Amino acid sequence: MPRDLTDLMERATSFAPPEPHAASDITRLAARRQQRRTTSLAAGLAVAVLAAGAIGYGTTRSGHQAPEPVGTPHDLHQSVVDAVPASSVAGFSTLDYGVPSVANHLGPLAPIGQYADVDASGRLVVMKVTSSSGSTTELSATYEMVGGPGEAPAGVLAPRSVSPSNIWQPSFTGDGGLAWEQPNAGTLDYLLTDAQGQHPITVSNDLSGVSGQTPGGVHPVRSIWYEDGRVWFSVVTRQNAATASSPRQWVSLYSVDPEDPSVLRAEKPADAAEIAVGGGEAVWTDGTTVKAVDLSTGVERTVPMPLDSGCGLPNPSLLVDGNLTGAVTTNGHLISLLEACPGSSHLVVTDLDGRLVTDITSTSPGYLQQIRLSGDLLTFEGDASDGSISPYVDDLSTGQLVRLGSSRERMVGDTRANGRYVIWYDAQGGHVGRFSG
Amino acid sequence: MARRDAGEFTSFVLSSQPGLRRTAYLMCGDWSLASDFVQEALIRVYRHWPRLRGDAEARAYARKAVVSVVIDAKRRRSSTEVPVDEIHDTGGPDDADRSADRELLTRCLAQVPARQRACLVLRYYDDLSVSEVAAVLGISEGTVKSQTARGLETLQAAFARETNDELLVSGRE
Repeated sequence: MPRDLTDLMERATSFAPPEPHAASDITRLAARRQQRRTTSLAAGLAVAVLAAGAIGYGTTRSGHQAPEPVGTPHDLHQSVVDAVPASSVAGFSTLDYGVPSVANHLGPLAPIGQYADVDASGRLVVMKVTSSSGSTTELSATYEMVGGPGEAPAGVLAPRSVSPSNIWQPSFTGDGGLAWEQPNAGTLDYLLTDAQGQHPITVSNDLSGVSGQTPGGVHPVRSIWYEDGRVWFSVVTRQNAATASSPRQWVSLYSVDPEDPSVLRAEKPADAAEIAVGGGEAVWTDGTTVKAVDLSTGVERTVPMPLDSGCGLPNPSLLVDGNLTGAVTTNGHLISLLEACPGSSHLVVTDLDGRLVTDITSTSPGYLQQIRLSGDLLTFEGDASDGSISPYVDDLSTGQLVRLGSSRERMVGDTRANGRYVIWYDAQGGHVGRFSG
Repeated sequence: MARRDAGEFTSFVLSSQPGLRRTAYLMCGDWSLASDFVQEALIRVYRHWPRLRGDAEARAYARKAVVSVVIDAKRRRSSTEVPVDEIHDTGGPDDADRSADRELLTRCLAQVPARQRACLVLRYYDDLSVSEVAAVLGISEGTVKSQTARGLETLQAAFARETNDELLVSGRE
C-alpha cells in the first residue's frame, strides 16, 4: 500500500526517549561557552556563569571547556615594553612536540616554518616542505598530525596540488577538521577535509560572478574563513589606477555553500578597506569608521572605537594587497583594530559596543603587525627600533601581555593561537606554548 | 542579557527543544545524537539571543542552527557516510508497527545526501515553504527545488527497494 512521507515522518518521531539535556543545563552551559560577552551581557550572565561553576556540568560530549572567568578585564592600557617574558609567566608552559619546526634544507630558499596550526585541544598540524632543486617552482609538502607533546606523528593525506609553485596551507576549522588554502590570485581554491585529510570537499569558484571592475577582471581573494558551515571570503572588487599616488583597493565579502560553491552570495559589507570574519560576525573598516554585522541576522552596527587624540584608523593605502595582516579582526564579541599614531602604532581591543578592553602601545618608534584574535588570545608581532622582532600574546581573559621570544630576522612562520595554545617563531625556531586554565 | 534574560532563554529552550530534536532526529537517525545536536544549536542561539527579536525569529534561527550543526557533523565524519550501521536508536515505548516504520524511514533517509535530506525534512515534516527552506539553508529557492526533487527521487527509490511499494508526497511541490 502506498505510504505518505509526511505521515511516515510523524509516526517515526511520535515516540522519543527521554531528553538527556535539561533546559536549565543548556542555559548554564551556553553561559559558560559565552566567551566573556562584555558590557550589558556581562552582568546578566555573571549569575549563570557562577552557578555553572558551582554545580558543574556534564551535559555535553565535547570536551576542552576550560574554566572561564566571569568577565574580561576592561580599560587596560598596556605597552609591549612592559610585556612579561614567557619564561616568567606562571601557568604558561612551552611544549615539546618532538618534530622539526623549520625547514632549513631548502638551498637558496629562505627557511620555512613547518608548524602550520594548533587546535584548541593541542593537536599540531605540521607541514614538511621539500624542494627538489631549491626552486620555488618545485616545492612540495607532506603533512603530519601530532596529537600532543610526546605523541607520534600520524600522516595526513595531502591534497593534490593545483599549481606546483604553491603548496597547501592547512589550518584547523572550528569543528575539528582542516581547511586548506592555496594562494591563487583571482580564483577561490579552498578545501575542507577531516583531520586525516580525508573526505575532501573542494570549494572552488572562478569568481566570475563577483561584481566590480578590476584590472583584467581579476578579483584577488584577500582572506578566507570557514564559519557556521559556509565559506566566507573577502575579495578585491575595485581598485584605483596603478599610477595613483595613493594606491587603494576596495574589498567585499562573499560566501558560498561548500556543497554548492558555484553559487556566490554577496554579503555585507561591500567596498570596505579591510574585512574580518569570526564568531558569527563580520567587521570592517572603510578608513573612517568601523562597523560590524551579525552574519546570521544581517543586523549592522557602527562600532565607536575609542581612538586616542591625534590617532586614526589605518590608512587604506597601507591595506592594499593585504599588506597589513589583522588591521581589523574579530572573534565575534571583541574587535581588535590597529590604530595609527604619530611615531608608534596601537592595538585597540573593544567589544562590539566600542567599550575598551585594552589599548596596547608599540615601542616608539615601532609598529605592530600580523595581528590575530582567537578566543581569549590576541597574538601579534612587534618591531622595535633596533630591528628586532618579537611575537606577543595578550591573554584578554586576564589582561596579561606576554613576550614570547625575539629575533633579529623576519619570522619564518606566523604567530597564532587556538583555545589556550599558541604557536610562535623566534631565533631558535618554532614553539608551541599553552596557558593553563 | 540585554533584551531578554536567561530565564526567558530557558523557557525558549523548554518550548522549542522537543520539536527541534524531532527535526534533528529525522536528519541523523539517532535520538541521542539529535539531543546533542540540538544542545549545540541552542548554545548558538544563546550567543545571538539579545539580537533575536521575538519568538518567531528565535525559532527560525534555532532551526537554522540545528540544520547547520547536523550537516556540519555529517560532513566532518564523512562526506559519503551512510549511518545505517551506527544507529543506536531505542525509540521509546511504541508499538511494533511504529518501530518498524521508524527503522524503515531511517534506512531510506540514510540513502539521501545530508543537504537533500534537510530539504525533505524541512519541506515535508516541518512544513516550511520553499523560500523558508532557502533561508534556513542559505541557498537559492531554485537550489531548494532541485535538491528536494533529487532527494525525493532517491528516497522513493530506496523506499521501493525496501517495500516494493510507493512513497507519496501530498500537498507540497
